[in-house]
Amino acid sequence: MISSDTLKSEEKKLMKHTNIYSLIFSFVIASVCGAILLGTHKLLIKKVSLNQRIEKISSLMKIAGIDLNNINKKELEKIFKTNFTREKLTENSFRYKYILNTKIKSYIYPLDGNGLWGPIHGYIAMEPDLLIVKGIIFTHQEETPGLGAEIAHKNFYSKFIGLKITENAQSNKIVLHVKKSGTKNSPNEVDGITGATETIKGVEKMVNKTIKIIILSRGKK
Amino acid sequence: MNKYLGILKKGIYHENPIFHQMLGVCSALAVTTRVKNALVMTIAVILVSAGTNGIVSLMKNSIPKKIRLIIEVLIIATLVIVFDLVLKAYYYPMSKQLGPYVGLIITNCIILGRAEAFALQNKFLPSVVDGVANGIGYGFILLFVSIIRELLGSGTIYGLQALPSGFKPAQAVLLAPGAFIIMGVLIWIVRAWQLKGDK
Repeated sequence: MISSDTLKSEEKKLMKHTNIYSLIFSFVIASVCGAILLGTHKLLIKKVSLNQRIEKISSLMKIAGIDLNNINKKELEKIFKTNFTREKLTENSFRYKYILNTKIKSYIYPLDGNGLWGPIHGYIAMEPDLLIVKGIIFTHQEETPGLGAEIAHKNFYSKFIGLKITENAQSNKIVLHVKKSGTKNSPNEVDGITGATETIKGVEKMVNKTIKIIILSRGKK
Repeated sequence: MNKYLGILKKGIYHENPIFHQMLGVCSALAVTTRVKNALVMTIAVILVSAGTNGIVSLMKNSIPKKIRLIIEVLIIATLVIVFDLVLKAYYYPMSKQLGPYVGLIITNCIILGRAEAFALQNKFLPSVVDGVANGIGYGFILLFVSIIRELLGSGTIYGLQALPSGFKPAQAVLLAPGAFIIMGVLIWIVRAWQLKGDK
């Protein structure tokens, strides 16, 4: 049995700090923590955004067919600046042009859509004929690891390479589709991932949205 | 000195957070597909756990008892976000690979658990040692599991080819069920062994 004396002293301990004290205490701690976070953020944000930019341009370059082995960050920026130009298509769409020695090597279009848990993004690089996929890459934030998250892995996205988006360069009918795993039945369809049906539907929607933009931009070579 | 050794031993072996307290299992399953990931995660947990324990023990007399949990979580969150930012700035690819799991250290029960169970009752230095010990205890298991998973799942250890190229990696080991099985078998073996030692 606990004696009433010890209970009382326990109670006293608990009441040692008044509500006002608790309020002030939490306010001070929160301010200190906030200041620390703000300071660290200010200190490092430049480096973080540089990393993000490097990641973006290196994925653009990779799908455009540039071998990135043995290339350092500085050269990466330089190649990007000299060979890639951003081109506005309509009010809210754009593409990158990759030009090497005055010859157009590839057009790259951004991909934006929704997966199962959150947004998914990516880029699709087209051959200069705007018919055949040269390369594609996906990024996501919160798809299920091992299932939906597989879209970011080479095993999945390499299936797109070499596929036609329409039957020929004049046709407007989209033939490239991403199918639920096991239901692929034409050479320009991509087999999905088992257990990731919702993410795959998102990818299909996202890719098709961009393919429509690609078809519309065919006149603007 | 002996006191500190005792705390270390407890955290790493006798009261290992994963084997005995069953804390932090979620992240232990998630980041152990690669030894490198496990290593970075371990460093993060050691730093955050030692830091939180130290700070909490410094203000154990001034912290209002009624709101101590919120305050503790606030401290943990601050340390974790700082670590996450540093990782993003200086080791970006790793930060990409670990994804949300660095942020999830905030909810890793090892850290809050040790702050509550140890730092609130002990002085600064022993608390820091306890934080480090539990971090190491956690990391130990992480390394062990990740070595098994990377070896069987990819045929490499720390990114280096460890098995002959003819070896066909078992992808199942890299998925969550594989991690559960490996962790379960490991806990079984270690517990049985420790029980035997106790008798």
